[in-house]
Amino acid sequence: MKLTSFLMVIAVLAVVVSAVNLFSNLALFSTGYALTDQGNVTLDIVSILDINFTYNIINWGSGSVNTSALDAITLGNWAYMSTDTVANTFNLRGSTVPGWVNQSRGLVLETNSTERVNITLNVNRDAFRFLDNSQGVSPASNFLWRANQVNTDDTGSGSSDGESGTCTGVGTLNMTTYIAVPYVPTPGPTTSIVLCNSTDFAQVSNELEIDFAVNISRNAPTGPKNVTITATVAKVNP
Amino acid sequence: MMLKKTVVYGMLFVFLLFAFESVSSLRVSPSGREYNFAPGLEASVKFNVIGNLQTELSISAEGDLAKYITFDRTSVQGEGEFVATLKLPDTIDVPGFHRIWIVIAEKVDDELISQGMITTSVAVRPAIDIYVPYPGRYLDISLKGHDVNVGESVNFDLSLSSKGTETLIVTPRLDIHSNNGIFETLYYTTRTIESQEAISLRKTVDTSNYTAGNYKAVVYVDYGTLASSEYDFRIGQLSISILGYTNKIPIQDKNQAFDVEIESGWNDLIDGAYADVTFFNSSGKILDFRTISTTLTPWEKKKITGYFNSVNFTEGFYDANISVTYFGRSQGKSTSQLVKVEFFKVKSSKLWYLIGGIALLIIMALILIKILRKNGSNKKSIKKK
Repeated sequence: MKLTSFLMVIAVLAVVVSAVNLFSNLALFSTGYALTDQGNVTLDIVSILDINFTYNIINWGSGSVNTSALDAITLGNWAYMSTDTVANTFNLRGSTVPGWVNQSRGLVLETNSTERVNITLNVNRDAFRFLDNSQGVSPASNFLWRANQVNTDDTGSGSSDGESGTCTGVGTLNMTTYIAVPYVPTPGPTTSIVLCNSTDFAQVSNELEIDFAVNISRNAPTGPKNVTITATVAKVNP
Repeated sequence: MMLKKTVVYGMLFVFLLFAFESVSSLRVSPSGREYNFAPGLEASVKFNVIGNLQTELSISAEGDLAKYITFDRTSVQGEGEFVATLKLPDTIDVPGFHRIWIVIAEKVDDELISQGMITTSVAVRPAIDIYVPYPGRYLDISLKGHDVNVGESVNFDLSLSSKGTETLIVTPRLDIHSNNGIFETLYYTTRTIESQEAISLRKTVDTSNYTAGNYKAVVYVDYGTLASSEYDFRIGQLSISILGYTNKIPIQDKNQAFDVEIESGWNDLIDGAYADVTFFNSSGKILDFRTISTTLTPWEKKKITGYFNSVNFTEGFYDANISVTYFGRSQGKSTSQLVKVEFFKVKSSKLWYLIGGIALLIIMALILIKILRKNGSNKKSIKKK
């Protein structure tokens, strides 16, 4: 009888200890067992800076100056070319001269950043270094650029060029008319120009078109010519 | 067979379209990080560079604190990750905002003559911002609110950012000004703001006791220096004001446009607004017409136009009643204004052409007479000789 009682006490103790252990384990390691009625969801949205030349090359091919042309535009001194068919000011001249390939579209710059950004342009050669090979020729060549955020589309394929409202609010679009590409010292840093102080990041208004115009002097050194335009997107100041 | 050919040419066309659409893109995340200055602060930021470039991208830092940044690599090929490590000194002499630019730029080989006269490169500049506390007390405050309608609650969010080295104890006060002075004052709980700590507080104002109109909320924070920030807001009600109308109309046998300029005084959409215009004289109504119906976004000004024939009017001023009817949230209301409109006859330009022509003929005749007389006198003098 004593043995039976002893065994009963031991058995009850074992059940109590295992029950306590079971609940403590559930509390610590349970899945699907809520200790409070509140839950936390944590996520981190990462900001993005983005720059995109959706059209990034302009090539007028090979050609020469129509030195016999004496019309009011060229006077036989320059070959005039531009990427702007709308203004039609600097369009391809001297159609009798074979070679030059007409370009109807400027560089197209887009940003898909998640916050307001500013856009700066740099150029590594000015007209003197790009077209005249750093030689003092007469007449001198010209190299001009301008920017627009107009929905007009040189390619006729939808809104693939400028988009209105890209530079809005505190932002101002600079270079809206043709200006000379700034002087680039050699050697030295390239010259920067702020294209847009603050760019919108809406999908429908985040594109700019950069048009170029060149007047190539009849005395410009022959050979391949190349210039690089660098677009930089930067976080705006707080 | 024909279909197969079309498909092949179609695919070729699509391929060429994409082949000649040249694109260069560069993306970095995050766009930056902000840190409050602490002596010897160390922090690392991992930047992820994504793009479609095949060229090498250089990584560098610019700015007055750029020397405190090091990189685990100074270039990536096309895309990749890199870590910028910030290790600040024990002191920075110039307090305030400092920005370190992290410059990720496509390398340009100046010697290489690329294909194409004008080519491009891209660069992105995320930033690491450091706020160095000003000596003593310095607090940046900013207040924001919004427009509401009468009876709705307006939330004013106050941002307080301590930019000084001292701890601040503040009890902000919010005054709501109407055109007649302070309409209501609300007090925030007294709070302690540690150096470089930023907090945001919200105060909700019930506008049930307000009338529609323009208000200004001004918050004052005394932290040894009295700082203030203000926000203009409007309390609206379903109403439309008539701002202007066409007050001169030519008498002609054709449709004349009559404009009514209206302005919504409601902070909600008015989904139907039109004007009924009635001209009358002492005998009664002469003519009436209705303008087009329009919708108005909150507080929007718009011009609505109606048309009528003015041929039966005589010169002079007529009375007109402009009654604008509008609907919002299933309510309909109207507002009216009595105005005077002048009708005038269009002067014929034929008379002026006639006068001008006669004048021109007289001038030509005078010139001719003068020339004839001169010739006559010349001949006489020759005969005398």
